[in-house]
Amino acid sequence: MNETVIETRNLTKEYRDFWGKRKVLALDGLDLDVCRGEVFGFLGPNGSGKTTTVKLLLGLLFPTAGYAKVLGQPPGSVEANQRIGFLPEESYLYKFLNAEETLDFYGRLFKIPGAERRRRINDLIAKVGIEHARKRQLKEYSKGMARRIGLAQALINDPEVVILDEPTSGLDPIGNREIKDLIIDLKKRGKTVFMCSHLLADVEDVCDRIAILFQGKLEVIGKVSELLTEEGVINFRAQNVSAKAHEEVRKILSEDGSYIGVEKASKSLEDLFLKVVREKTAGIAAADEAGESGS
Amino acid sequence: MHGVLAIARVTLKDALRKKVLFTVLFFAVVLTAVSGYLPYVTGEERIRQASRVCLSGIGFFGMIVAIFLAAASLPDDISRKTIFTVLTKPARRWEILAGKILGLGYVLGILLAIMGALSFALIHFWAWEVGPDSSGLPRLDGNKFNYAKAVEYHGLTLGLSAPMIESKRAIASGFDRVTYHFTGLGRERFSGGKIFTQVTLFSHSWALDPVTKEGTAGLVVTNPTTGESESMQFGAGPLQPVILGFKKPLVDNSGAVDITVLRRLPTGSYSAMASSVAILSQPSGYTVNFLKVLFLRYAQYMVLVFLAVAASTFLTSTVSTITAIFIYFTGSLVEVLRNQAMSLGTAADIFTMAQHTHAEAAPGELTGATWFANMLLRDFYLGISVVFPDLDYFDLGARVSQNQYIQNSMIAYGLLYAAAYAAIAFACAWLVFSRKEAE
Repeated sequence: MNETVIETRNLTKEYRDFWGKRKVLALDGLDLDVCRGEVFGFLGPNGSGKTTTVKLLLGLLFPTAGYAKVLGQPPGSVEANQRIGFLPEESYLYKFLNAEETLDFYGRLFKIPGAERRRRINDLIAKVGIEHARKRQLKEYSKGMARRIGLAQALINDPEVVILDEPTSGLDPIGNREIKDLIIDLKKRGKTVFMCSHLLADVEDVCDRIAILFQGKLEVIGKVSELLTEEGVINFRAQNVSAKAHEEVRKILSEDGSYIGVEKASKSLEDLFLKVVREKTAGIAAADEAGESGS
Repeated sequence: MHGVLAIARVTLKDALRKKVLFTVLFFAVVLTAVSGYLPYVTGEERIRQASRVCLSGIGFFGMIVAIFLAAASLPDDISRKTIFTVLTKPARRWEILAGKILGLGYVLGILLAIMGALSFALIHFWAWEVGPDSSGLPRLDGNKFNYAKAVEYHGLTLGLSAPMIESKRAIASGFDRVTYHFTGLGRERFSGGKIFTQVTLFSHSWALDPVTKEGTAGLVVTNPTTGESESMQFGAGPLQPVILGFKKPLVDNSGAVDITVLRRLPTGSYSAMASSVAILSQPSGYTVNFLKVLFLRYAQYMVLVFLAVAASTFLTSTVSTITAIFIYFTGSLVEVLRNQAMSLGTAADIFTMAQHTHAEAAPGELTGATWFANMLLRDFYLGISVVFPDLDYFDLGARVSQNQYIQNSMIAYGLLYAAAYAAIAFACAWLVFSRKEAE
């Protein structure tokens, strides 16, 4: 767990214009260590340098100062790329290929032998749930489907480190949930996940540790569980509480001086949405089955 | 290599998606409409016309496709950001460049094959329409070299004609036999296969004997080294060139051949003059020549592809396209510019010339400045002719339509030349691209 797989020291990136004049300091002396097996969330408002960091980690950009290492290798090296999976901000894939051809292309870049490549392609297409569209050209894909095939291409080499830039953007709540489950599954299999996002709920759900970047500077870094703990606050959860019990608890806590308030527990909107859609889907499936057996 | 091949395949698919092969359809329609139907053109000239139209069409359409695809290929990947997903895979940057170029090579190969086959069929159609020539040989496959033309082009083709070969211009009257020894024919053309020999003979009464129906003269062609020979009799009309087909290699390795004219009948008075011998193309000559033209065309396309890809590593696709078109045009002028520079001569020549000019116009003045200006001009011309590829070199279409043999050495030289340009362009492209950031 303590092996560092992503390491940056004083990683700095300045964008310059054509004449070499400094335009913007996108990243300012970033020091970061991501350990093997953790899901690391990289947060920040738009333009805070998240994507710049990702590109530096992948060797798409070259640092102005400092360095980054991925799996002990310089970014962009063949050795590093061999073991990295990358899902870009938008699925930048060849739109004239279909899902199979896309995965086949990327598989070939990894020199994965034919039979193994076909097996992985089938696995991944099933895993990201685009089996119905495997022969369709990507230009016909919805944003969510494009995201899924993007994720599939990132996993074609069974990478040790997965770098995801906004993995859940553009997905409906179901897709969102599925991708998050996939990330958790990756973690279970010992993979390291480095994800950028500004969808905070998603990050909170899956990440072990997070860092917050603001205007190119690292502001906060730490464990989600620790960062989100409200100092000294405890939530009690109870069901069907009688008025009497409620009153007594309130009284005891008031005397103790630690009472803050009582609120009704609510489900998250996500849970509600998923519940509704899943019930509906199950209903339609059951009706279909009944219809089929009846005919 | 895996990476190169994978990228090449995607590049090919991309081109097919862009419906590049529709070019071919357009090409076919234009050619069919134009090639044989130009007015006032008949016979041999009609075939030449078709040949010219087809081959220059191939050159033009291929050039357009090569430049536009090559200049856009890499910038397209960068602008649609697919380069991100490719660069983050274990493909080296040179592999990406090589894959792109190879893929474009596939596209142009397919294009050239289709356009070539189409043209070939069309030209043969016209040859069939026009029918065999006066000596009964089919137009294309038994095609003769026009030796009058060969003189003009002697720097480029093999020695074919009388002024170039050591010929015996003997005129014998009432002879029994006369042997003409020809040398300097070059051997490249005669390596195996059937050859045709043309001997021009003149006679006063040149006809078949009315009684025996035998020819009045015989011709024996002998290989002076091996002594192998073939003979035939003929009684063609007066002043007709004689075209004979021989199956044995009758020109020896030093490029010499003996041709003997025999008097076969005691009667009649005639003289023979074998003032020139032209070895005609082999039966496959036209096809081979045609393929050679296509082959060099391909080399030319690829030079443009390499240059356009190199340009596109640091320019946008539009600017790279313009650059490549500029290179194409300048490249077609290289020969002219080089000749211009050569005609200016050495520094001393230019100085003398400047002195002359000023001796007449303004004595004693400005000689140095004129000299300097002319030197600058010469070096500028020379510079351009060195920096830009001589693209005219790769255009041998005129040769095939004029039935001039294309030497293998020309092809080899062309390939080397193309390879040199390609290597330099690739090195530049790699230098730039390996330092390029993908923003």
